[in-house]
Amino acid sequence: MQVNAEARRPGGWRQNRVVRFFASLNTGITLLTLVLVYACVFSALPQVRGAVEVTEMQAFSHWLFTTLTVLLCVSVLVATLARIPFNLPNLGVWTVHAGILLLCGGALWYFGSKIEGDVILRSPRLELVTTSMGGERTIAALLPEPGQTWSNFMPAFGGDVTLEVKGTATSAAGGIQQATVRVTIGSAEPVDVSVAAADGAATPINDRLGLRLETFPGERTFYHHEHAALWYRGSADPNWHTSELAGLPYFRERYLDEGYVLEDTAGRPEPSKRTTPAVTLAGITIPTGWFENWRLPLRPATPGLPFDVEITGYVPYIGGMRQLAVGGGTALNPGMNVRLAIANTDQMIERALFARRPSASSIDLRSPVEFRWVESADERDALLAPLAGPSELAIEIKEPPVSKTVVVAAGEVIEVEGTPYRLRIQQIMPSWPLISPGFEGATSPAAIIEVESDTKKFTRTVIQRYPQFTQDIDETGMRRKVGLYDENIVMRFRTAENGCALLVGDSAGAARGDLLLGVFSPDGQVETRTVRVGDNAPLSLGGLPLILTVLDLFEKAQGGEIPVVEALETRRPSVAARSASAIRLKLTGKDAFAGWSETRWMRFSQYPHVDPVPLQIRPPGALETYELIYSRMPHDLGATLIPQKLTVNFFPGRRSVESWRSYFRVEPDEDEPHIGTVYTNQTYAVGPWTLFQSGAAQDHWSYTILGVGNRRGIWPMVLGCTMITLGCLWAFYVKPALKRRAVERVREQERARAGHGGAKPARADVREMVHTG
Amino acid sequence: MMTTIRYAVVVAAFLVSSAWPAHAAERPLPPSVKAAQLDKRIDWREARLIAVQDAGRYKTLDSFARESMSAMYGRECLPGLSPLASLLEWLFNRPAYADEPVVRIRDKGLRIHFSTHMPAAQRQFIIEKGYMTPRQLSERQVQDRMRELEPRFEMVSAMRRVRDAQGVAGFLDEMLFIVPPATPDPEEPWHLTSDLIRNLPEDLRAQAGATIEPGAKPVPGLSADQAVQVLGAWAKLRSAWLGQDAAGVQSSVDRLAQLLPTLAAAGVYPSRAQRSAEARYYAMGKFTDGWILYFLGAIASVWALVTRWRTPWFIALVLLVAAMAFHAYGIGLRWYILGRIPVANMFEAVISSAWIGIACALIGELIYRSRVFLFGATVTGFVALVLGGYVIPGAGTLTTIMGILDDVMLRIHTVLIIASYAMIFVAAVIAAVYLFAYYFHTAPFASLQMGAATAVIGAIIAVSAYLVFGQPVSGAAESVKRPGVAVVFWAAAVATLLAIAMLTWLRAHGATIFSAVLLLTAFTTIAIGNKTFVLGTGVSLLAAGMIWALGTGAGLLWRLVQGATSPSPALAAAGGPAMSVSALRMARPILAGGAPGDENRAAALPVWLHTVDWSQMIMLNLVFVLLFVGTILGAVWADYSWGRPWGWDPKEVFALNTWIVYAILIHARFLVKNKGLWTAWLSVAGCGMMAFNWCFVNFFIVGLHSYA
Repeated sequence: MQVNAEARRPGGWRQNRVVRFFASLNTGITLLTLVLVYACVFSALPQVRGAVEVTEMQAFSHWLFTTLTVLLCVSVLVATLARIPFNLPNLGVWTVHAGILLLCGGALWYFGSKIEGDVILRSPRLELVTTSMGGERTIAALLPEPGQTWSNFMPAFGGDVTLEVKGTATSAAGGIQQATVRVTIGSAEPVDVSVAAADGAATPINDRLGLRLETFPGERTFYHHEHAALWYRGSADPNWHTSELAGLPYFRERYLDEGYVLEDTAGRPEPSKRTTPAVTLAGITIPTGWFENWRLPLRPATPGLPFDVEITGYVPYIGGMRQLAVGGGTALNPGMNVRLAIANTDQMIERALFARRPSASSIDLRSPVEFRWVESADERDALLAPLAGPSELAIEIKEPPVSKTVVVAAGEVIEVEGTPYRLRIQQIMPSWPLISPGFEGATSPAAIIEVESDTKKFTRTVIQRYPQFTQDIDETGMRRKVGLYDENIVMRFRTAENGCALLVGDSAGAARGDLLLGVFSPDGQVETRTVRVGDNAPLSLGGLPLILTVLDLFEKAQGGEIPVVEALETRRPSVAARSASAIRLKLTGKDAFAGWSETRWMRFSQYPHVDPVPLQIRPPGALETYELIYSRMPHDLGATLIPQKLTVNFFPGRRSVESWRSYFRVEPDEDEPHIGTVYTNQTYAVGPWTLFQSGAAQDHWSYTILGVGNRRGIWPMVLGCTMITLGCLWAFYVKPALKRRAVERVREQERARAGHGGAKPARADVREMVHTG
Repeated sequence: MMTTIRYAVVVAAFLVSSAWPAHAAERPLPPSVKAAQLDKRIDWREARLIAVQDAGRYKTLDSFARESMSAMYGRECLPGLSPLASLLEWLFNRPAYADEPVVRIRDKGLRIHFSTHMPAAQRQFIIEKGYMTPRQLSERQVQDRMRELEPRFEMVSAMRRVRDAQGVAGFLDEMLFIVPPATPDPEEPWHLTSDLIRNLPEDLRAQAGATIEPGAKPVPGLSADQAVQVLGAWAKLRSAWLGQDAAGVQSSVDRLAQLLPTLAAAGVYPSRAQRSAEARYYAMGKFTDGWILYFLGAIASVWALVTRWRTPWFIALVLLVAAMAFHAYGIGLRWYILGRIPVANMFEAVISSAWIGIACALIGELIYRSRVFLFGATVTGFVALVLGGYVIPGAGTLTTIMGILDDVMLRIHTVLIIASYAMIFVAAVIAAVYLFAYYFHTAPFASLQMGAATAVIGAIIAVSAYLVFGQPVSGAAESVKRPGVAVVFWAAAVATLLAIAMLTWLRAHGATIFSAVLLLTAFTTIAIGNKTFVLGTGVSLLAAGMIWALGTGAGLLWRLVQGATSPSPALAAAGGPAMSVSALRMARPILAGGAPGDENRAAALPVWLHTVDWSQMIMLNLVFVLLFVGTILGAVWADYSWGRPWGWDPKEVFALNTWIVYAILIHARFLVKNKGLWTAWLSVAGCGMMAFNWCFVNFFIVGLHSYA
């Protein structure tokens, strides 16, 4: 390289200060060094990336790095034009520099328009279900493909159960519509069962087992790897709407102060990191928002919702969710945090109880501890009244009017005197699970009673805590979902067979910071006392010495679930921070719901239609429930992908997978449908998107995950790289030879001019000079 | 001349033979005494070739034995036993070892964790020796501790090693899949000998007192007769082993070796040639012992470099070629066994890349005979094989390759990248020679002081590693730093700093600053590092400083002595014969590239220093092109593998960073006055970047290349 511009052409544009600055080698080397330092810091130090909330991709798409790259390109361009004469020896360096400009330009285009995400394709599945426990519970699943088999030894179902898919029927689009399965149970003759996808419910094999064919629609949406989004809709709206959560943190726990500190799975406090992009040095706060892109709080646009959404917290790597009652609510929502410890041991549990949330109103140990809220003294007295015995049944008959309370036990028969009613206590259930909307997860003691009168014979389930859900099953076996089969008889059931404790609060007590504790012994007797917040109350429950401590009590509580952060030492770097994250939403009512506000944490869903963890919100007085999902930004693929098959190559022994191959049907918007395949080291293009094998199910068949990305700017980069390589070869190996030849020619001419003819002298050989030994 | 060569060759051969790791007879563990006697009477040649399906590949019984024993005991065999004897002893006589210290706990922190509840003597033994007995390992306290530690990310590798050791110690017989299926599918799982019980007729099972689980299926394709034969040979082997019946053991293992291949469908059982190659590969210690030849070659090349005599040059060349042949044979054998080019993991990359780099350096040496190529090649070979044999985790165990890595473009990319890495190392060695020679030529006494200061600081750090981190602390905590002691050592650091300053302030301020920076850096390592890191840093600095200082001192003495007796070497040491600038320019090799050199300073620098500079430029030019092309081919592979040529993965970024360092280097040659010196320093920096990329990024930064 000849670096002699001034001598070549003094003055002119090359003397311009800006040109001289960019043409300077010092500038070029400084810029290269800055690029190097930036790359080292942001690549080798994940702590730095974490602190400023950028992923690797975002770090190298940041405006600062882009600026450095552009400046370097300008330097290369100006230095080449101003300082390097364009001639044959310098062809190499010109080519290299032109290649660098092309490479950088292509890279800026590529990364500036880069979108990356993935799509999950779920295979149809044939499920073996048991119907013997009320609902349908899946025992096993297999791919509905002829020849596929499944077998297991299940003595409870008659011995070896073997399924073999004998055939399938597919639709014109290639989707499976029907499957025929040969089922062999124990030593019985095999039976062929035909299962249709449209059925929905299981096709019975016998009275205990059934088969179900589940199919999934094709996918035409993929989800961005890094861009989070809030998905929302009203219950009347079939379509989801999305709002991008631009600026959401990624790596660090950041949450605005709401009066509590999160804990990690080891029980240590995990306070929030910075919540505004600024750093404080020696007491001086320096805003860093010009460099950092994350923000808190975020206010995503959610048109159509009757409330505003504000993201006030973000936690990556959550290890679970914990209930916690906190104050600050605007409506009556009695809540308390309570600790229950076994005396003289270190065993204890802490729970948040909410009297108005059925699933969170009790600690369901063998002897339950329940939180109730009362509006009046009568209500309180009724709750804390002693039982007639271990279990009691209050019977009220309208015609003829009879009212009585009797002690009951399982198997007991009660003749209600003066009436035609004869009751038989079929079963007393200490913990009956509720499935009614709003009561999912709640349990209650219940009595199943057979009732017989002159005209009717039915079974009634009387639920202690939620008597409104008492249900009848009539003679035909039909469950009465609305109203009772026999309105003439009303029953109330209470039990203390295993002992129980009631924490009964009211507004006056909450103001004082106390509540009543009623401890029921198994004989139905009750001991009542006042418990203050913070006091340790010893009690004996089910024969176990316990200490109960009410940690907090709120009349208008809020909070609900809060995340427990995965302890630092147990985090797996291979798990992306976002995929295990949660956000906190502050929902504030507007228009008709002005004045209402609620704060809730919500977990991340990788695929909103596959593993949704929706938050259901119903502002007070609203006619509609609104669903929110925290997931990823969707992008249109421009085609529908329908899974066909996932195949796997194993290493010898089939204990580990060597590679996967996914077959799928592509239905483009403006083209004929065709079959696509991606596998290890082989991509497939659908319009502007490139698909590649990204992940697969552990069972090797039930789903495949295809990575999706665009790749604009590839060809300039390829051309640039080729030019750099060729230019280097020229500069390193051709140019010295050309230069030497030129020098030798000049010498020859000089020698000829000086009259020194004769043979050409041998070129000095470095070997001769160093071999002095 | 020939006499000298003969002597040199004899001396080298003697050194090689004496330094070769001799498998000295070890005292067997008490329960192994009889087995050791039995072992000597068995001919294992056929038995070691029995194929085993394990860890996703087919291997020999010999490899399985060595790998299993390594996982449990930390060595390929129990003391005094061969690997196969160790395997059989563990399979058949395991209860006898319940109280023998045979389970190796490699990680010192875990030794403390696992022994806190034990009596002091036992605790001390475990912490110092690193061995636990199977009974100790199964104690409730130890198991509880393991369960506590397992979820912790930083413990994952350590706990996996412990679980592997525990698995071998407790369930080795459930890992030995030597019965091939009769199906022609090479993926089909193989079976344990005990699985064959399911193939026996019910009456035979009843006779043998064997039971099977309900629903258990027989091994498909094998007849009851075949099952009887295998089970019979296995049972006989067991009883003969326990009964010290050498003839019985011999006949049983030979019978199994003959019988098992006949059970497999055609094409499933690995070929005998392949199994023999694998057995040979392991028996030769994976050919990493070739470091001795490289080491001797390095000594000879130093001799040649310093004296510039032909004889040591020739000796070094012969040793290098011999070492390369040995090295190449090992690589070739591994290639043949695995059926793919061995560049898939750290061990293979280091070993293979080193050979390519050495070959390039050898070609350079044969063309230019500058001696530094020879020195660079031998040092590279020595370092690579020592790393492969003693440092790299896994010690070169043959493993499978992930499907995604089984690609032609990726292989080309990998070969180019690792070849460039090896050449970077060769160039850095040449750069180190340049730096040493430059400072020796321009400021020998300051250079001596720098070396001495480095050595002193290294010694201080090494000693402080023991004192600051102290003895193992009782209780569950690992070694902890004692702040009080650290303060004392910071004070010592400042005192040493002052001493160095006093020694050097009149001589060379550069040395003072260098020492100060070195000292503060070193003591910072004490503040932030752990014991191993600090000790490693100390020993490295001590060794490097000593070599530097002793080399400089010896050079000064040499110059003094030879200057009085022989003008030629002294002349060479002082700068060689003078050359004009133009002659020097004409002497510059074409391959040294188009960037300017120091030829204008012909009068200030000796010719041989220019030679070293040209030599490093020859390597660096190649590196610049190869590294770039290799990186780009990696991007091409990534593009067609997952549609993304570049993802800013740390490995990619640091490959780019390494290239940027060399881009800076090339441009710096146009800018600075002292071109050779800057090039040498930047070459060392580039090597540091490469080493960071290869070691730190691979093992400590999670990314797409974490498996590499």
